[in-house]
Amino acid sequence: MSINRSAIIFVILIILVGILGPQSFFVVDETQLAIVTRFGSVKQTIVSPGIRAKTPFVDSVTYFEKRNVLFDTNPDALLTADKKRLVIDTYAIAKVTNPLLFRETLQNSQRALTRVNDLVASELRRKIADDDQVDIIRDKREGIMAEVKYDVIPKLNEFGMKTVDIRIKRADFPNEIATAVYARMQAERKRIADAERAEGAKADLEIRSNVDKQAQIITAEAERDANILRGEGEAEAIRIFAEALEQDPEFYRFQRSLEAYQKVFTENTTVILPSDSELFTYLESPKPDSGN
Amino acid sequence: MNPNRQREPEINIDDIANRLRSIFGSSGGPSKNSLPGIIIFGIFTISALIWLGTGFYTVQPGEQAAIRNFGKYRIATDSGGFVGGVDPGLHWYYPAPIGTLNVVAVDEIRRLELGFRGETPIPVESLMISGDTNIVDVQLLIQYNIKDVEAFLFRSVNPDTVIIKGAAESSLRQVVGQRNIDDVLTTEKEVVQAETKLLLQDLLDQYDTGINVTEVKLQNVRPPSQVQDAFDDVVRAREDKERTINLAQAYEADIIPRALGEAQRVLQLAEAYKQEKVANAEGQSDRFLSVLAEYNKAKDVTRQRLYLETMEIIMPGVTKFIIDGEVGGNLLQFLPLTNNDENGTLDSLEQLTE
Repeated sequence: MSINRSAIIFVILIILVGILGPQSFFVVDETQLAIVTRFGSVKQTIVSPGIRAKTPFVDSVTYFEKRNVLFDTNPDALLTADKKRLVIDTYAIAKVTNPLLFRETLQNSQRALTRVNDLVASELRRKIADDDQVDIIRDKREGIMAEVKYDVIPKLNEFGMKTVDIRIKRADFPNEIATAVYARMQAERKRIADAERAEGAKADLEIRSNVDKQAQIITAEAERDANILRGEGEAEAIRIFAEALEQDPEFYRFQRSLEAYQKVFTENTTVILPSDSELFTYLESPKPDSGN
Repeated sequence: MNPNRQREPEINIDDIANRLRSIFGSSGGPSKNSLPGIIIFGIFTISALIWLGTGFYTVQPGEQAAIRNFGKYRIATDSGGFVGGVDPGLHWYYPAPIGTLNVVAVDEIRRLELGFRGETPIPVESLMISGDTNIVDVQLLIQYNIKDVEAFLFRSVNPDTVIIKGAAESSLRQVVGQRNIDDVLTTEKEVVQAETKLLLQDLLDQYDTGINVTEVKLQNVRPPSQVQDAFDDVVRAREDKERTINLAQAYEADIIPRALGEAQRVLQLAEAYKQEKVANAEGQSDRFLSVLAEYNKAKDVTRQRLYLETMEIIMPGVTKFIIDGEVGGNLLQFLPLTNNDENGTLDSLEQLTE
């Protein structure tokens, strides 16, 4: 009996500590919030981490996630102002700040997700209906998200949650109109391709006609300059001739006429000469001519 | 581990006790009382030491430790310390259940693939709407590391899987949604990367994730496969256009120099003609002047000589009629001067001569 007394006491002590310790103390982690309840009624709300004491066997502790959680909401096909449909997929980032309120209203994070989903979806539906599809895709995302956030923040506050952000993750065409979009894209590409080719043809014609024009101008200008040159040459020649011939126009006429005769009278020319022609002065008589 | 370690010595307890009993016989009540107590105490001490021993940990280069004691994060002010140190080296902390240790590879570059996993494309992630309401296929690779261990571990849930993915998808789609498909496909890739990175980092900071985005890289940006052919045709059309223009320019390069060359030729010919004319005129007038000079010295006789010499040249070849001056005028009516037929002329002349 007494052999193991001290040992038994020691073991009992350890067992007591092992049982009473966890019952008397509890740890709230850096990532957690806690509520201490006694038979269902809330005794204490703990928002900072550390070790805490409680009444053993009577108090129970419920923990809540304190960190930012991403709530991935369900994608929803919404109607835009111009009666087109967009599948909007959003997420919300929120965290529990008031565990008491959270527990009272939502109980757990699964219900919280559903609730956030519903809230965001209804706000989003209203906002999306205010704008045209293209604006939502292009510029209004931030604005819509800010408005939804603005409206959702107070509502989540009522659940003891703080909204950090609400964002549109995706804005997509519904599957059934994707085919139509592809057809439109194809048509648009065809238009661009045709335009490119036509532009090529235009540039081709422009360049070639311009080249032909330039070539023609170059030729014409060359002809013009050539004619000017020829004219200059001819004028110069005339001047030179005139200068020389002026010295005795009569002699020139005489000399040039003789030259011309040589060319004019060929083999087949018939010449009728009067017998009193000067050429025949000596044909009839060798007397010296008195001279004409 | 601990229960096992305690049980093994327990097998030896009886063993040792029996052996001790056999050695000392019936002696020593107090020793019988205290011995198991000492052993149990010893076991407790050893267990405690083993427990304390589990508190050693090493932090590798590029890693950082975070320690919570009773759930409370101990912000490392003296990061190089042995107890609860966060920097590379050997450290010690109060082991569980008092302490909780996380060692995070903060410098390790982690990857998030958006729109693909390895070689497999994930169209539901990669297909998105561009600002001109076209659909474009974008694959993005995000690289990041941890800049704030406290935030990474304790301020957000699954920051490196769920949150970063949601934020990245949202950022990329917003940035692409603000641009036309052609810009996304061609000129604005860099801008899309840069803006996505900025927006993503901003969101991750806002969500207290402690994540630092090091790089955002567009992997594949292309039209959806359904319309790829149409897009390719646009590329071909652009090439066609370029080729057509090049050919036209080649035509230009061919024609213009030729025209210029031809123009030069024409001008040279004209210049030659001009020079020829002038030279000819000069020569002829010089000749005339020379002749004139000599002519002036003996006008009459020279005229006679020139005249006769010319006649001498002309007359042998031509058909001649020499008639008396008084009938000359009347004869003309017999000559068929208007007849161009040479033979006819000759015939009639021959008839006349007969």
